Amino acid sequence: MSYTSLNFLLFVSITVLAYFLFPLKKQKWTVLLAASYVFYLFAGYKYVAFIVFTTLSTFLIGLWLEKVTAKSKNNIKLHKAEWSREDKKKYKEKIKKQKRIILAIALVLNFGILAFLKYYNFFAGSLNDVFGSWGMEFSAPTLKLFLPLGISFYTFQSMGYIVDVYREKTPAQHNPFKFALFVSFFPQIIQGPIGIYDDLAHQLFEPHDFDFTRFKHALELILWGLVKKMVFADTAVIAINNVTSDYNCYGGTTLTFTIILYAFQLYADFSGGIDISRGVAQIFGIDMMENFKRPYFSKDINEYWRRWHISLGNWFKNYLFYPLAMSSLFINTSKKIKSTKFGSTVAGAHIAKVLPTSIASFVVFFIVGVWHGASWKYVGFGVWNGGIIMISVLMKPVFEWCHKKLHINPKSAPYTVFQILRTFIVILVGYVFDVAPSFTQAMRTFWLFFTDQSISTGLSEISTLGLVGNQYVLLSLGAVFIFIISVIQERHDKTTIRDMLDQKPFILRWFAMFVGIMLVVSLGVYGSGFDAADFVYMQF
Amino acid sequence: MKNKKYILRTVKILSLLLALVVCIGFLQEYVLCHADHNRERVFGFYLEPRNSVDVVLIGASEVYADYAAGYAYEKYGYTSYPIATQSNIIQNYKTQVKEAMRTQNPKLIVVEVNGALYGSNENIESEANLRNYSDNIPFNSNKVELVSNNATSDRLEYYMTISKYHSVWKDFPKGLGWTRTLLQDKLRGYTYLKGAKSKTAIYNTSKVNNYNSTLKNDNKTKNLNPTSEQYFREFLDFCKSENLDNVVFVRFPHVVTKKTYDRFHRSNEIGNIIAEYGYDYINCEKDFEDTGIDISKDFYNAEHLNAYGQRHFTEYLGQIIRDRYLKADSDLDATQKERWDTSAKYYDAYYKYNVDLLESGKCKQVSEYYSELKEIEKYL
Repeated sequence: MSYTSLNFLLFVSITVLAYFLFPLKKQKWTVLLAASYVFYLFAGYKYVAFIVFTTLSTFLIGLWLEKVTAKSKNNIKLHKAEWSREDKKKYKEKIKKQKRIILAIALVLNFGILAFLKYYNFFAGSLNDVFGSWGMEFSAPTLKLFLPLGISFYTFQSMGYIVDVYREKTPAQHNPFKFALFVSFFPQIIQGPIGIYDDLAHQLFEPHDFDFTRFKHALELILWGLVKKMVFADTAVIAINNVTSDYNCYGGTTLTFTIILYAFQLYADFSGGIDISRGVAQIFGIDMMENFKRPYFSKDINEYWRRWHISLGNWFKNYLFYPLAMSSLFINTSKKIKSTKFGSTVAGAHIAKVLPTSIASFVVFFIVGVWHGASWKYVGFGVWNGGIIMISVLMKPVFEWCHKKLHINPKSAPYTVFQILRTFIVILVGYVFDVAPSFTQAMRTFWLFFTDQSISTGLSEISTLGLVGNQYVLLSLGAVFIFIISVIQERHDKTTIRDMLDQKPFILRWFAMFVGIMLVVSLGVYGSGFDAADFVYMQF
Repeated sequence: MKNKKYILRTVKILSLLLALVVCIGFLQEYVLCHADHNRERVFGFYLEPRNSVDVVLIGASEVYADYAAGYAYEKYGYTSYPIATQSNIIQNYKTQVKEAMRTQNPKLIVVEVNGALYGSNENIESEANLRNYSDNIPFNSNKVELVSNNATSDRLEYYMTISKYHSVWKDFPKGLGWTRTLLQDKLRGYTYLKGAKSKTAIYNTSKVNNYNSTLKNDNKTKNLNPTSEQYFREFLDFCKSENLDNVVFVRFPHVVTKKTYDRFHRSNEIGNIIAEYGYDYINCEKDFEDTGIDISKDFYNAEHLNAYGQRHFTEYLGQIIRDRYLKADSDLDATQKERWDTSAKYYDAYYKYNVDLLESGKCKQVSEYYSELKEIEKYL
């Protein structure tokens, strides 16, 4: 059931009525659980087994971890008098090891399923290619695998929970049904945001009364999401799909145009989808985290990844980056560099200081790239982003030295604009890996950027991409409109546009709502006259 | 105080909803949804004042290409209207009759049988053929019944047509041509040409081996497509159950070639089925020589007559209708009479315009589309 379908509208309406009319106030969360599983069943009954497995395994392992922790604390308390410091340390180490094994079971089981479903065929194909190139008769079978709806999102979310329980940051949930709701909450199951248990769970389980202002704000957010998704993103994707389905036929100018269009489409699609998710959750009184903060206004690639898909970035930061950067291997490497002759130089000291974080960043982005898809082009995407971040961290003193020598004020407006444009170009280069059908084609695209630019050829090719003049006008106006809204949001970070609208006269507020609805109804891409597009992140 | 706040809020919400319903309704009716001559013809039927149409004609494209209601009025003094859409299918017929009976009290219903003669299921099951008609009629129990029995995809799309094809805006301002045409009709309160449409071409039958001259005594029959026959018998059962004795079945003229010879035999078979139910059947393919149609210049293709043929055939069929089925002149008030007189004048202009184009060899589709109407008005 797509978020932009009439069925979803009907489904949400029924759930809203059921939730607010449910007579048992403390058990209102059961309505959300039932709705989430109904929603999931719509995607296909065969998917349910996977989410139930993740829910049950994570729930039980969470209890197990908590039990081990409680038992160890109890034991320490019991043997407080008889155990020496050394004994306590040894015991703690033993328990830590035990907990690590339990955690590993959870991670291997759940990430194992995800990895198998998502990457088995990729690895089998790559293996076959390698053996084939050596002339060996080896053939790993490829399987007909399907990816359950939202498997990445619920796996990441539940694994985040289990790590938090392991770290004793959060107590384990003792009610399997409540935990099932945390894993399957329907507004976020398709494409996130990836919730953190501590932030989300209590909101899900608390009863919420109907609040008109909140309801109105939620509808406004949903409407804005629909405009971005159905009017702008789904129009743009028609042209992008035409290019990707016949990638070899287009020259450098068209490919440049497509990459820029893709940047617009991806943002409108993904942020639009998240706005719908957040808006639906908000109707029930649940505030999900913001997943986008004007990412194309970033001044460097690090900042971009703090503004783009924020929940995924946070997940990787909390559960992969910090453990890696703080690992004994990285810390010891840093210490070793410091102790060398090179480490006593300015450059050496800097490298020793930032090397753990830069390598950890590279590893994280490599994994983020692979997470995007089972293909070498996504490996390229990860290496590009990770590489740029690594270089920018390592070269920071050099850049600062350049600023000084060239008398550049890094905080000046023109330099800020330069930084934004520079970052945007870096982002676009990364998108080439996303748009191109393969790694080789991505490389070819870079070559064409420099060797095959022709405005007349480009214009004639662009006119064949399935969009007519009016649609290009619509997309241009859309880009300008989203830009203006983004500038306003950037300037008033603490206040939402909806809060600002609340200050305006009634007529203006309702006119804005009216125009939004009419835009979706009139210009939205839906029905047989168009190719309806799924949300970009639906199958990630 | 609190009550006042809630009342005000309710009023605001209802106002917004009302404004949305009105605007979306307008956009769906006139602006965004796919519109063409089919839409305009069906739309025009509902503009006719209640109980003012003597004869309703039901069928596919040959009905609006071969017959001109304005000319029939001018020549024989009765009012008529074709509820005909492109590739109309037999499943639509029952609803068309029901809608005719709901809005008019026709003295005669002429049913062209083409909708039951398709050889394959492809035409019968085509969503487009269903929607050419169903999308253009108002929401009522007849529409619900039609959609429930025949919808091939999401039923909601049949009721909210905007949720299907609403991409006309891509061609704005050119795409607004039909909006303009429909609004003109609506403001005027009636259509001038009553759905007549033509193409200014002459089908060169000298290069085609046609059987038309030998069909008079060709009584061979061929079974109908079973699905078509089932629907056709259901339609006949419906006519009987409703005691509709003012129905006449007609096969309009076509150029019968080797390719369409089987269809001609099916049209013979359909005559036998109609006879079982006791209705009249006029097969103009068999009676081709009586129609006054000149096969060498009256068709624009094998299936449709051009303006010359349309005039000849309207004279032929109109005479039969007048002589056999209509006993009295139309009972029109002054306004209606004036409107029908105007329609007759517009038909004359339309015919002259067609003839000019035919003689100059310019091939064009001529209908009530606003830009074509402008051309027609030059001949008034």
